[in-house]
Amino acid sequence: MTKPNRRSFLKFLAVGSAISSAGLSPAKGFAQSSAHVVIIGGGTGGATAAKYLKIGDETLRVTVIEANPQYRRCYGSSEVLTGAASYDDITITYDSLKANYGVEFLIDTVVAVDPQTQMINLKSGETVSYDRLIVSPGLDFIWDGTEGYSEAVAQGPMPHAWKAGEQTLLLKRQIDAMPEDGTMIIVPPPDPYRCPPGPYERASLLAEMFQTQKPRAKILIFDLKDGFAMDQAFMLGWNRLYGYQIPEEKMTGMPDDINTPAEQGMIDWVSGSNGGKIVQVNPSDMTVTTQLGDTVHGDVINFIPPQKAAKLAFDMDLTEGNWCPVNRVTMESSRHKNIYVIGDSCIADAMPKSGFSANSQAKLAAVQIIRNLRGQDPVEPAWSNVCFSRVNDEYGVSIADIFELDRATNKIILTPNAGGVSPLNASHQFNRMEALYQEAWLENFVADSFG
Amino acid sequence: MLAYVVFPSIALSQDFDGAVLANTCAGCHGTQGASVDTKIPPLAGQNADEFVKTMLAYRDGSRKGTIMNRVAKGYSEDEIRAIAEYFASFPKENSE
Repeated sequence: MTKPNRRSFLKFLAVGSAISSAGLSPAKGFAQSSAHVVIIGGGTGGATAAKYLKIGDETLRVTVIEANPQYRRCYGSSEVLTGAASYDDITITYDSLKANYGVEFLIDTVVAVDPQTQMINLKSGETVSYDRLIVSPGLDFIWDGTEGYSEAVAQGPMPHAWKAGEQTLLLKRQIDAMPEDGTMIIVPPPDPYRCPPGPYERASLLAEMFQTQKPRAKILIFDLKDGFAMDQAFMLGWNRLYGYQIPEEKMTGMPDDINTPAEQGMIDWVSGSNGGKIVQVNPSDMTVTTQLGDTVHGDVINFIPPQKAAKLAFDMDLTEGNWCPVNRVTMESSRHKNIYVIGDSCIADAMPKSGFSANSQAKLAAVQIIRNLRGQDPVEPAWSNVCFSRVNDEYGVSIADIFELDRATNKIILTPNAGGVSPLNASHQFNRMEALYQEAWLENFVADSFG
Repeated sequence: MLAYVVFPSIALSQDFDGAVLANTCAGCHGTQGASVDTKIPPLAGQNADEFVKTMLAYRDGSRKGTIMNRVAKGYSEDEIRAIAEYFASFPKENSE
């Protein structure tokens, strides 16, 4: 606990009226004496935490505060861009958490949280008190840093589609309207960002769709990085499916039977070292300008901006730098007692910012909170992250990582000599199986988090 | 649907918790091992000895999988045993 200060009564929104003391009527059917755990944010982290708290102790009262009555998941949202999935497919309700687990939901917005009195004020005027609070607010974008780019640009000519919702539909409309021989530019963000393989999986799925619908289209990825999650596995798939010329520096370990196309295929990836960093965008003529001064036109430009913890985390004084430090054993904030931070906003060292990580952190937080409420010591933590991506409908790749606490540094590390990416010498059948598993993984993961 | 199950009570002296470890499997294999899309097999109600044998075979490579060879290397034999006992404590019907 660094400094429980008097800044602690944090008012985030200007609310004209005095705060209502009406509070919430006690929920019927729950033991009055049982603790109340409140969760801010009904995304993957928040939903999983709510479910696993109730599984762990059904007498707990668990309330999720979420601004939207439905959740739109990011994982699988690039399939909406290609038309392989519908907008409804990525829309999740909270019905199961309410009906099957007895989780209460408040569709409302947090205005203020007082970590001393453990009270939350909502925009509606209601107040909620908590015994333990989990904050799973997701992330926000950093709009500055690239000349010509702004939030307004993202809302019009150059959508990010990196939070599923209206942005997904906007980008889809632009892709659908793209000429048959058009160029789509994808600009992945700097680390750390949500879903590290996401931009490259998006490129893969779009290439698959373009092959039949816009066979002369190009996808240019301008990257400030020199590598990315599962890069060789993706590149091998691109080589086999989309005629991709694998760059020399990524050839280590590639199988002998790769294709050697005479010219670059549908996808091209420009690394940071090759001038892939975009320093300027120009929405009026739909161009991006690289660090080397090359200006390139895109019919569709999917600029994914840098990311930081959601505004709520800053307002609640939970951040240091752009993210929220936590006790890695329990996920409790190192800044405010009885507040736990999970998901994209928290600092989790070796864990990527992914829905799977949020789910894993949520389960741990749920177990540790229940133990804490019972006066028990925390248990040894464990986490995992598994992500399947499709390079096309019949070609899957995966990354699987197991994490543990490093006692020497108190940081989350990859469990040594375990995990990793689909091997490059995998058989055709192997990648086919991984495409099938991708489907099952998505369904089981959504069910584990929300079902 | 799923029955409510309180985590088995844990002796504090124990270094790790079968439920915490098994939770790292549930993202793919389903809550408490109750897989919905059974292309990824359910683990609920699996015989603990069989589970341990399978995981150790994945771990040493004598059984070929796709992702499981990589995953199994992340757990010690004692941890695998704890996970096995956790999943074995749930009825198979949860997965059907």
